[in-house]
Amino acid sequence: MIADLSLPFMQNAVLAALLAAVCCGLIGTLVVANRMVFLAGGAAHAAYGGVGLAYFLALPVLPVTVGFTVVAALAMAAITLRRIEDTDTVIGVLWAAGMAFGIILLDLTPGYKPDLMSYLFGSIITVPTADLYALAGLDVVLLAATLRYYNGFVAMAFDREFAAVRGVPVGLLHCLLTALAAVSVVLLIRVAGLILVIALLSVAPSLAVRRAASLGWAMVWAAALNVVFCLSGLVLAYQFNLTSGAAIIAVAAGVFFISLAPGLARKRYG
Amino acid sequence: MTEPVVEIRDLTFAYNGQDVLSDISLTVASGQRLAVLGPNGGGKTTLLKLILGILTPTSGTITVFGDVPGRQSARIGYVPQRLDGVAERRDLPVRVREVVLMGLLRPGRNGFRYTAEEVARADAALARVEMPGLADKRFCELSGGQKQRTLIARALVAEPGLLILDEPTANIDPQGKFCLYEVLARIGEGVTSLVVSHDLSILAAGVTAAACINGRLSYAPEPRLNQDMLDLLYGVHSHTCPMDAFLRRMPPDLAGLTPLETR
Repeated sequence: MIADLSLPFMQNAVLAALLAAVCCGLIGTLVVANRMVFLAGGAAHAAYGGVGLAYFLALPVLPVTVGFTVVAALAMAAITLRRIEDTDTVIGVLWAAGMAFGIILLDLTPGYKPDLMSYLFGSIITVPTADLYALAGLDVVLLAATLRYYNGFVAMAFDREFAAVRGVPVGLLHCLLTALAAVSVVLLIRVAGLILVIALLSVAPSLAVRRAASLGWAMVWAAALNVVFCLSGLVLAYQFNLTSGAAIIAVAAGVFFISLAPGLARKRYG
Repeated sequence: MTEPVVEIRDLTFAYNGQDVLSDISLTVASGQRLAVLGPNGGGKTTLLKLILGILTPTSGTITVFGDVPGRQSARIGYVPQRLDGVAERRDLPVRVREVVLMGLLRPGRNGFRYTAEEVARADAALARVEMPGLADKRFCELSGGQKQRTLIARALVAEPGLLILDEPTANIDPQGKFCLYEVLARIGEGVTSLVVSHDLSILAAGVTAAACINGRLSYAPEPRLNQDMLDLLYGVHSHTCPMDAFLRRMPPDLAGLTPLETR
């Protein structure tokens, strides 16, 4: 196993796992704390519209998809910021509209048509080195944004109205967080696949926020848990010749359910 | 004579074409501790949001510290009625001290850490509301009354020129280990404050003036209610209605009715 780490694709897989773990620990914790998981999901699916647009205009896919997704996410953020009660409906409509837009544009594109699904479902074993640089850049941006606006993010998650009264730029932070979540999801899906991204974004942060003393520690714990899930999942996948993403999710889900067990036992017998 | 902290003139606020507040004029002088009483839906919280600059008046003017509402928000300590479910969330890890420190945020003050001086101020604010030793606890593990006191500490920490409390009696600990009225009376000394409540007992929390609001506003320069205010709070009842008899029996000292027989 150790000897096999010299293989370039294994090194890339381990690096991708570490970078994705840090990214999901940071943005996942912020998204969970601000109750924006549905918003992040909507942005991720609106990304299909960007893929369609890139093929229709014969432009490079990744920049167009990122740009399109950020615009769609900011539109969702702007609408949800003003009319909180309609949040679910607006996100649901943009979620569906983004995907439909992408598929129609692909239908209208002459010549070779890529399978839209395969484009957005990556595999951690076949990560190209260029994507690793993009992920590392994303980690740096996320870390910088978190350090710069940490107190504002915590205040916004805790009590949005009070934060606004104190002069915290709530509107700006809401849009920034939505845009960061959208970019993260698009980049991560290319690397890790949609299902693995959802697992990394939700399982570790939700375990961490219920136990950590502060949001900052929750980010550290979520990132550390993600590293453990990814590395042990990769080892299992290698040893038993399993699909890497599924093995990682199996480890994460196993830990999640084991962590629930004491609470369930207390409820039944307590 | 110092400038009034809040000055409202001929204010009207309409929501969906219906007047929620009409023709409100009110002055909160420096050092005054005003209780604004009113039934649910009477416009109390709307009035607060107008003063905080969260809502904009349909007509009329408001000045806060001589400025447009919202411009001087950093000088206001605001204690919301409840946190709309946020207070009950177990998935938001935040310590009590960190909640109090949020009261020191201001435009441009973001960052990651708070200074030692800011932490010392937060701990002093917690001591003022009789919550020393709880600073490192997770907020979600506190009782309702402790949460309420943490939010009061969060409002006090910045030494506000105006303290605004929205329904502070809504989350009192039923065990009564801690007397909110006592603390409110004590921390209110020297601080210009505006307390909004539907609960008459707030008049016992050291207030110096009272107003009643229900669409329109009626003011008294002492913590007592006059006939006009009681009408606003409970409506006008006919002599055959048991409510009329109840209101007549109200302690004259509280209601300030003189003389009862002339009604």
